[in-house]
Amino acid sequence: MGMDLSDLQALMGGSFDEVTSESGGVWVVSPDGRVDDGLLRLVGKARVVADALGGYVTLLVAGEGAHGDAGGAIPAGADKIVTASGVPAAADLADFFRERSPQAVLLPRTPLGRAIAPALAQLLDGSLCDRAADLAVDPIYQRLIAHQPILDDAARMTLSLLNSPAIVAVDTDLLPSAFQEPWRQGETTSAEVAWGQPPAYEPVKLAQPGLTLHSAPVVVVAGWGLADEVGVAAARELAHALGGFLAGDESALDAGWVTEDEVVGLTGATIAPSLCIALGVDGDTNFMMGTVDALCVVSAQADAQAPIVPFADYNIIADPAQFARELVAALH
Amino acid sequence: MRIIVCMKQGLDPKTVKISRSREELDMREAVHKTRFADKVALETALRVRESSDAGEVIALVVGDEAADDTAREAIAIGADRAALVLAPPNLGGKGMAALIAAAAERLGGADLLIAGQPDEMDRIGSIAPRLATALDLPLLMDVVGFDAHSGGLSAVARGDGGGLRMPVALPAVAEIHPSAGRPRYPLPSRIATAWEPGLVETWTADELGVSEEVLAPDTEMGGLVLGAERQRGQTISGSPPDAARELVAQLRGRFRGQRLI
Repeated sequence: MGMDLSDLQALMGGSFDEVTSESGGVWVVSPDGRVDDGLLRLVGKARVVADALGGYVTLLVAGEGAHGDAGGAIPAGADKIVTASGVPAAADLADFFRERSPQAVLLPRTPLGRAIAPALAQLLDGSLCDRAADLAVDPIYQRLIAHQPILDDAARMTLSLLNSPAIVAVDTDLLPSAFQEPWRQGETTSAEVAWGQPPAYEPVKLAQPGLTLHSAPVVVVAGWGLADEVGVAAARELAHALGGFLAGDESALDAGWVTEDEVVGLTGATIAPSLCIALGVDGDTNFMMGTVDALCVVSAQADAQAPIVPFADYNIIADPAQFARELVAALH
Repeated sequence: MRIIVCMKQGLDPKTVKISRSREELDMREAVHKTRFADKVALETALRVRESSDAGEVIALVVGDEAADDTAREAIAIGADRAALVLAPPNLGGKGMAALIAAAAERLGGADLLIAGQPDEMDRIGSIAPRLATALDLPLLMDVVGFDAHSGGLSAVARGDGGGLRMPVALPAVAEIHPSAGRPRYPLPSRIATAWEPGLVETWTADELGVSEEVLAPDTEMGGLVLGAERQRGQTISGSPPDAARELVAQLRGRFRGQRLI
C-alpha cells in the first residue's frame, strides 16, 4: 500500500506548510530600535532555537534612527532584518504577527519589553515567560523551553511553553556572547509600517532609598587585621567603590571603628548580601553565623590558617588594607 | 475613587530548598504567604486613598482557600474590603487576567487596578499588562507613587536613571515598583476583626462565568537546571594587584547580569 503526503501529515500531527522567511520562525523584536550587544546575544540564542525548530530568524527593529546598527545582526545569526518606524504598542505588534504566525517572539527584558511581552501573549493567545535567562527546545514536542532563574540564580526552573506563539522576555545579560560569523548572509527589508511615538513625560528626581546593612547588595566587613584607622579608610573606600555598606565584626566594634548597629554576626546583624568582603576578619563562629546566608564571601587577611579560610568562597592571603586599595584600583 | 489591588500568595523563597541529588525543589518546608510586592501595591493604594481623602481600596485575592488569609491580612492592613477568587493551582496568565477582570466587574468596576511585580518563583509573569489588554485600559509600569490633585491623578514611574511624571487617564491599570514604599504593619484593632466570618466575599471561576478552558495553564514546569555547586575555601594566589585583578574577573563572571561589580 502506498503512502502519500497526507498520510505522512496525519502521522506527524500537522500539515507541512512551506517554510518561508515571511512566516513562522523565530522573531527577535527590538521595540525601541536599540541594537546593542545584548540584543545581538538574543539574536544568537534565537539562531540556536531556530536551528532546532527548523525555521528562520528575523529581527524586527522598530524605533527611529537606530536601524544603521542592525547590520550586525546578520553575523550574529539573523536571516533577515525587518525595519519599521515608530515604537509599537502591544496591539500593533499583535496585528503585525497575526499575519506572520511566528513560532516564537523574543524580546529583551527592558522596561518596554516587560510591558509588551505579557500583553502580546494575551492578544495572540500564546505562552509567556517574562524573565528567561536561557532558552532551549524540547526535542520531542518541538516546544520552546524557557529557563527562569530562581533563588538568586542558584538554579533555573524550566518552563515548557505550551501555546504558540511562545513569547519570551529574556535577560540578555545572562546569555552567552553573540556569534560573530561574517560568512552569514541575510537581507534587510522594510515592513512599511509606521507606528506611533511614545508620549514624552516630565522627568522628576526620585529619592534614592537609603543603603542599610540589611538592604545593601555588597557589605564590606572590617576586622582587627586592618590594624588602624588608615586600614579602615581603605575598607571604607572599597565599600564606596562597590556602592556597598561598611560594617565590622566584634573586634571592629571594640576598636571603635563601627557602631553597634553596624556589627555583623550572631551578636549583631545577620545579613544575606550578594557579596560580603571580609577584610582582616579571622572568622569566628559569631561572624560566620551572621554571614552564612551571603551568596558569596571574599576574605582578605594575613593568616592562611585562619578559621575563615575554609568558609570563604575566595581567599586572598595578604595585608587586607593593601589588598582593599588594590581591589579599588582593579575595579576602575 | 475605587482602587482594586490584585493580590495573591507566593512561595517564601527562604523555605524552598534545592535538592541537588534529585535535581528538583525540595518543598517539604515550603510556606506560602502574601507576596511582598502585593503588600507594596496595597500600601500604594492606601496612600492614594489617604491623600485624596476619599475612595475605597478593595483587595482582590486570587488563589486557593488558604489565600483567604491574605484577603484578611489586607483588611487588617487597611483595605476597606476584600474578595477571594478560588482558582486552580496551575492557573495560566490568561486565566488569571480573566478572573480578575470578571471579579472587578462583580465588585462594581474600578478607577484604578494595581498589581505588584511578579517574583522569581512566579510562572505566570506580569499580570498588569495582561489585565490592561483584557480590559482595554491604559497601562502604567514601574509606578512608585501617585499624586492626587484637583486636576486628577498623576503617577510617578521609575525610568532609566530617574523618574517620570505622567498624567493618569482613569480608569487605568498600574504595576507597582517594589521601591514604591515600605508596607505598613496590620493594625491591632483591625486584626481583631479581620478574621470574623463572612467578611471576605468568595467566588469560584464558575460563579464568575470564566470557563475552564480559559483557566488552562500556558506553561508546564519541568525539572531544574542547576548551576555549579558552591565551592568554598578557594585561595587566589599572587601579588595583591594580581590577586585583585583575578578576583574582579572571577566575581564579574559569577555575578554576570547583576551589575554588582
